[in-house]
Amino acid sequence: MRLASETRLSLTRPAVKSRMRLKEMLWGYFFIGPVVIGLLIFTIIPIVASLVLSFTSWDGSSDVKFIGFANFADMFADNIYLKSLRVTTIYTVVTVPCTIILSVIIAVLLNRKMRGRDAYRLIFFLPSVTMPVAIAVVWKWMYNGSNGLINYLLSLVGVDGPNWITDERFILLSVMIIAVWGGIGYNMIILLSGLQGIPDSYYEAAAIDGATGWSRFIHITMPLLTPAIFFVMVTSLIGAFQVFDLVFMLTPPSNGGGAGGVLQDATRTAVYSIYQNGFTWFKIGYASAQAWVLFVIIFLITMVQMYLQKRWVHYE
Amino acid sequence: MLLPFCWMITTSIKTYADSVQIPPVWIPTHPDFSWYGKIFEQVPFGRYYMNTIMVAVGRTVPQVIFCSMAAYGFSRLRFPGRNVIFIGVLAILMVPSQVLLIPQYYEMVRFHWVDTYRALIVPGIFSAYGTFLLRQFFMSLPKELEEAAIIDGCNPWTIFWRILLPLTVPALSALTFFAVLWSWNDFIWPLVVTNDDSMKVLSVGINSLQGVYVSKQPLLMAGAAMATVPLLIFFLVLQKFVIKGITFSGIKG
Amino acid sequence: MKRNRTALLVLVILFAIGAAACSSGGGNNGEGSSGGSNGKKVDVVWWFPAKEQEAAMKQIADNFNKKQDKINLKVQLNAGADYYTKLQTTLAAKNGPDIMWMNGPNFPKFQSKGFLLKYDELIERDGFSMADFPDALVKLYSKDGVYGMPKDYDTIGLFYNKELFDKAGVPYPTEKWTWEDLRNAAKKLTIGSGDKTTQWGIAVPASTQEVIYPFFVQNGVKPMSDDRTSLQYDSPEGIEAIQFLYDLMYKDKSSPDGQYMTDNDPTQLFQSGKVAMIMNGSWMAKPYYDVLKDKVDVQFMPIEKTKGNIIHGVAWVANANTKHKDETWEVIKYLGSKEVAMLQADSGTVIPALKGTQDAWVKALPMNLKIFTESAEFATPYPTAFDPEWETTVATHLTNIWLNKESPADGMKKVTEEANALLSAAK
Repeated sequence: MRLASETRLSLTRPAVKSRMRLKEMLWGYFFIGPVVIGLLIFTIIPIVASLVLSFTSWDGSSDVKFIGFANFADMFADNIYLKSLRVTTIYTVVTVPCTIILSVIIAVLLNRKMRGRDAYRLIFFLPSVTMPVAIAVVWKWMYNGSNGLINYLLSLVGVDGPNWITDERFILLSVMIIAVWGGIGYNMIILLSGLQGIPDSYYEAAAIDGATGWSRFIHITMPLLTPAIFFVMVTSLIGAFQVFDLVFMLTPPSNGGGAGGVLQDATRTAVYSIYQNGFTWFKIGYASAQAWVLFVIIFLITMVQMYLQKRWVHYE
Repeated sequence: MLLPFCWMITTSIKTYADSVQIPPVWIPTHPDFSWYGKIFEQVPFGRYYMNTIMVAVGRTVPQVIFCSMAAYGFSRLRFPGRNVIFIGVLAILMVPSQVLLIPQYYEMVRFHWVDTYRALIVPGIFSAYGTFLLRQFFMSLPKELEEAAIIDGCNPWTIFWRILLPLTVPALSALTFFAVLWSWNDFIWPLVVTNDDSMKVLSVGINSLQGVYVSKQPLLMAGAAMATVPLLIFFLVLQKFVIKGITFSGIKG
Repeated sequence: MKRNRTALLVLVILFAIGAAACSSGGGNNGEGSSGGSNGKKVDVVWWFPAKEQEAAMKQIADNFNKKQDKINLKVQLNAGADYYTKLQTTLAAKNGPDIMWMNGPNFPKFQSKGFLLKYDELIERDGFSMADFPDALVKLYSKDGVYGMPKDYDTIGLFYNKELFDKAGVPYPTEKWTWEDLRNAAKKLTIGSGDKTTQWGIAVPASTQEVIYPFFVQNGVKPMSDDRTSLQYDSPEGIEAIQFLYDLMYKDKSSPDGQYMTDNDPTQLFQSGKVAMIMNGSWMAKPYYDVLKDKVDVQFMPIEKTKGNIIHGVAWVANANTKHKDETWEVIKYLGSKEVAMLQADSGTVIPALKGTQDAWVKALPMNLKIFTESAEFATPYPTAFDPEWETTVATHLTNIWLNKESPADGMKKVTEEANALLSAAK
């Protein structure tokens, strides 16, 4: 990461330089202070608590017993959790690129001056404000194997559609389709604000140079949009690794309080497993340990992204 | 995109008998608007509205200010530990929130904040997501913008407040919108930290319309529709504001 | 522009102060058991999750508060499906209400963590009698002592659509029906052309409480051993019961199969007149009547080796960490009183647990509802155990059998092996 003040500071004399450094440091802490202190109290302390719990067998009752790394060792023998990590990975690898590519295309299209632009933006954003229950009902109906909309449309072109949400080979795909559908709106908003932050003067200058639409897109729009795309990439990836609500919505725990069967096996994500252990089975210590393993995975991938960003993200 | 939303609206005026048909009935046979009335009979909907708006405003305004400050700090100023702290902030996003629920609730109990607006609002103000979002936008602003100001001897606050912040209006409005949206839809936290009916927000109130044994879809959807309308209006208004934001920043830049 | 910003800043500060003021004014009410005293009264906080019973619960609290001046009973509705998540979170943080609604499957989970108050001492001290409640319900909330005051109960019945029976010329179910009668009627009531069925005789979802366990007990299989440490679902009778249900779906095709019932809610199929018979708990009487009106009625469950039914009920349990044990017990005793039972019965939402108070519920709808209260006399309690995971095993293999991924015999064998391993380890 290049620092904004580097060049400027190197011009000044050493004594002045260190005084300015001190001043800048204090300003820096002042600016980040409120957020950092707030996060420390309301998030970091609970995070540390969950880290401590991950070394215990705590089940919510009064005694907290430390069991060392036993929870972590158990995880390697826990086929359900290992499989859930695999499902989560597949989900992430498929949904993140699809969502981002589609969001970029749609954001660029909706950034042009056109009739009904606000209405289109609103339409793409509707899934984010619609009640999850309504979304679940409608998608379940669309996916219905015998009288659903999707299979009806497929039958028109002579394809015999599958049982989208009752066949373990298709259910994860069905979940991923909803994820992409619902995720476009969020990302679109961020990318749109990124596009709108590009000063018109850049385009005007390019127009004087005789740049065409496509070359303007490649040479001005895309580079200036990369910080926003990077943000969308990192947060979508984190979000995808933590997917839960969507799976819970489509395959809720079956009668009797537990999640079961081949359908659950095919869609149980890591956070679903964490929820199941923590809130259905009261294995809070173990659930915390699972969460920390997931954290490490996400952290490593994000660090790789942070490292690679130098190659393609265009910061001023 | 539109289907679930339309479903919500049409279901909210279906009779109970229509709402349970298989295959589903899309157009109500006997439109029944009484569910909207029933909601007001069954729950203090006005109170829920007020609470939800208070929480949304209470979280969003300080959030946007604090996050933009932190984003400026992380992107424009140099101080020891900057990158490490930033990675730490980013890492917060990576911990699944499910395992934090009990410790966070425990904090509220220790602070004696259960069943207060403080519990609903204060922990929701500090956002790692918002900080990261705005940092990305600050990073994309040209450095030349502040150089003149630095030579003029302006302090960082002036640079931040006068020069850079106006240029990030599109990003600020995006964050404003997300903050409002998430606050509006936040469910599990308000559910856990409030008990009294007078402290409930819309998401919790509507969820409680679902019975333990049987839930009446039309009632639920009527509640959901009423909760969603203000958000849609807010979205449209903010859209206009974003457009204004660009013309404004266009002049400056 | 500058003025605007200053105005904004002022607004923020005002708002922050306002929020703080509001919270200190309106706050501090009902912080679980730590709630302060209101004048000289002691606050007792009472939680329930069922919106449909809100009116009755509020009435009960009002009546109680009017009766005495020592206790201020605060009743609070806490949302449906996420009720137990909230309960767990608050109790784990040593907070939570004084009195709470509890169901059978969740009771062992909360009891075994030491969250709940044992009533025995208090019962003995006051000479309170638990004999006025069905034994099965008291047992459901016992573990080396009594932890629950039974609130209400439910049993299972066979609902049927009279109109569809009339059309097919099939006589209505009787209380003497056997499985074979059920099967034959279901076949006759199934209508379809080619591959496509337009009406099914019956729907048998993989619901443990409403279908699986009742069929087990009718065939002489105990859903759980008396010491709650083992199952025998792989016995010939157990497999036979599951095979019977499986055949309805995959051999006779007189019930929609598991896949279809995952796509389409069976209760809605019945409400839509697509299914002629369905087995459900007493709580479905009202919603069925609301849609089908006088077309719907209900009969005893069919009989095989013996009459059999499953009884389950909700109970009021108390927080082990309550700061006001005596006051809480006072309220719980009141919740077990005839006055409260009658109030619930009059509301028509549930069958009250106290013996001799069920008439009002039975008469609430023009249906044969007395079969539910009469079934309680021979019903087996819903099985629960102290290991929380065994039910997941059951659900897993039942789902697989219903989706035709495992045979009934294989599935039941796996359930028994896996669940028994969990159950004996938990002992």
